[in-house]
Amino acid sequence: MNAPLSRTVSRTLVSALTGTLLLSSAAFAQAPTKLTIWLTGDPTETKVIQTATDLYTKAHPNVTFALQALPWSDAHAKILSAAAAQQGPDIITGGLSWGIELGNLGGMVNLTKAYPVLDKQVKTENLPGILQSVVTTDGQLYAMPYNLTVQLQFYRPDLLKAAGVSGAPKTWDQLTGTIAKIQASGKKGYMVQWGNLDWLGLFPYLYQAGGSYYDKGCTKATVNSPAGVKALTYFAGLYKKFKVPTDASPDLGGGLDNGNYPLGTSYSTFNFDITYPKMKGKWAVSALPAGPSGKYTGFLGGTVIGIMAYSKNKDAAADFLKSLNDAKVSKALIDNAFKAGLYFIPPRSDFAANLSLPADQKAALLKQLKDSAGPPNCPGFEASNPDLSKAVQSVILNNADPKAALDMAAATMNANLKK
Amino acid sequence: MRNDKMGLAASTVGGGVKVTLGSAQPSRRVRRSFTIPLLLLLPFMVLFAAFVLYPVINSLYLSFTNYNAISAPKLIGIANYTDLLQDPRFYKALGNTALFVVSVVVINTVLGLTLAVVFGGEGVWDQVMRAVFFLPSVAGGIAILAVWKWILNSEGYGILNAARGLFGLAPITWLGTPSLAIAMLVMVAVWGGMGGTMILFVAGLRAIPSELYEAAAIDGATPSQRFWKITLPLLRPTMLYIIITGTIGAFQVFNEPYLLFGGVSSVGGLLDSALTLVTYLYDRGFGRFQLGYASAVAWVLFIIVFALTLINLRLGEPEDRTSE
Repeated sequence: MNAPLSRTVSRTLVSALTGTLLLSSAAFAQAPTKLTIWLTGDPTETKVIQTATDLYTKAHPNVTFALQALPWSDAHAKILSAAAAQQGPDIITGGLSWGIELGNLGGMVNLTKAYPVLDKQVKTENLPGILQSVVTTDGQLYAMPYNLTVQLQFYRPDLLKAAGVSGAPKTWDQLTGTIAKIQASGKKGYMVQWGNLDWLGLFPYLYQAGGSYYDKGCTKATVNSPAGVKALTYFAGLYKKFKVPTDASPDLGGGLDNGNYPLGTSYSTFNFDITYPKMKGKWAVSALPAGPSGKYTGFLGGTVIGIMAYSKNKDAAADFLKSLNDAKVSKALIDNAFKAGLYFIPPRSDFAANLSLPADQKAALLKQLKDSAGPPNCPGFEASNPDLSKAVQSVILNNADPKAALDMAAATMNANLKK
Repeated sequence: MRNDKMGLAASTVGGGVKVTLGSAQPSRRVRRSFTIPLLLLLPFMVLFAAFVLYPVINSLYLSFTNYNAISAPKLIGIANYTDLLQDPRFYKALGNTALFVVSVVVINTVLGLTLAVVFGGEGVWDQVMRAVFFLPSVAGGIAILAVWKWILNSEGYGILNAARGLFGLAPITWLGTPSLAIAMLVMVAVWGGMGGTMILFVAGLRAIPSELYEAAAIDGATPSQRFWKITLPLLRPTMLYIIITGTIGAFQVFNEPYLLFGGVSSVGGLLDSALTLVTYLYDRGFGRFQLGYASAVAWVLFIIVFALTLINLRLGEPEDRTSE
């Protein structure tokens, strides 16, 4: 008699508890939630992501968004201040390494542990070249890729033709040959806009020569390998022999437009028709020239998106992040950005194929994405950047020996690996 | 002497109350005379303690920790300071800053004094010229630095190179040549600061009694002698003020190197040629989350500026007091 009674009581209690939990979770799901997002970049970043936030709010009317763009120069410090004060945005976007950097300090939600479904989705669908930059050496993901930028080669076919060159250079030898011919035709030559005189500029040549900054397990720096020396020697030669401009960030668009620099590399921008209307139809883009290893690797940049550890809306934020991996949302982001004269390149090549670009430009972009890599995820790489850049600059500006310069940089990188 | 001075201060505030320092218990009247001024000063003192004193003391504490802004700080002894002494980038920043400080203070003082002597008069032309030279001090800031960046650009649209082009001269990469970096910083700083220095010197010059010049002229002193024997010695307090504030300001230079030379990954320009102490501090603290280390840099900077200020004050004392 007692046993059935207690079973009944237990069932009633469990049912009541379950009901209460369900009701409260339903109420939580419906509770008004405001997600604040800080977007690193220019003010157009808010315009781009608004496509996704609007779609999300449409599907989840209780969730609204506050969007704020932060310039690159200030974003790192502001996000750090927010993390220190434990208040600020729920979600941030930032440089590829910021997720690991902040995550290791406890400033960002570990997506691998807290949201394994999202983690798995990101790791299986995103480009491998970008994943190697945002996943820690022990497999943790603190911020997922949001959008991409990749190095590409831009040129003026008409001016190359006038210099006696048909088409963009496809190998290192062709590149130097083309620059020589351009200069012989009275033009200034070649320009490196993104990564000029620093470690990022060396990056593609290093990989194209078959080298890398670190070994696979991030146990030691390998930038001073024979491939690294070959890459730096070649890269420095472009500056020393062909007088590549040494300004912090030279204007490739202007150089292409006025014809002084009919060839150069930059990040993936495709709006020269708008910014330089006189150049409409006169410029073209291609993948980078291949190096001795046969690889034509381009540096893969972009931004990551992640959740701040102090956020009180982690679940809603994670659900929003998940929505960014939806094909429809991605397509909407691409299309609406394009309408605003912007190019949003998602971190998946199948999604990137939706970009509204002329066939030749899209082909060049997709080809480059196939052979591209982001910055290493090894500990201390960020801290080593100034020393790597110094090595590059000392060879180019002070005629330092490439091997000796890279040995010094490698020593710092190894020391930073252990910190 | 000390008691007289203190007594004078008390009588000014308290309406003729004489204070005898050293007495164990000030009178009720004296205590009351201090109450209102102290109450009036209280809001300032609270704000000063909260926003100046506490951060300064806290930064000293943080300089002995591994604070990264997110995790709780852990005491690591003097590790930040010993690391600093072995850090080649710190020495590079220190060297660049020292060169910048000396150049800016000397050139700014000389040019400011010259302008004050030349345009220190009451005439309309002098007033117009003073306004012209003072304008950069008013219009300074980020926008002006953006304009300088445009002027110094090495491509076709850099105004300076465009001007050189008119004379058939080859363009120079003003901001892309390491040996020119400090020179560019000094030029921009002096351009922005000499007008303010000029105004201070004009005020100093006007405080010199004209009778001294008249007497010297009657005694047959040449203009050069009058300048070296009257003007300069009597401008000593103004000059001391300008040198001390100029030195402190120059040591703290940040905007110019950060905006003209800074990139996303490195704030010091090519080969760290424009790396200064404060930009390095910012880079380590806010770029690399090493706020303990950055605090150590800040305290080393403070010690240097403090020592230099003491030396300046000592050198600036009148000769009769120095020889005492």
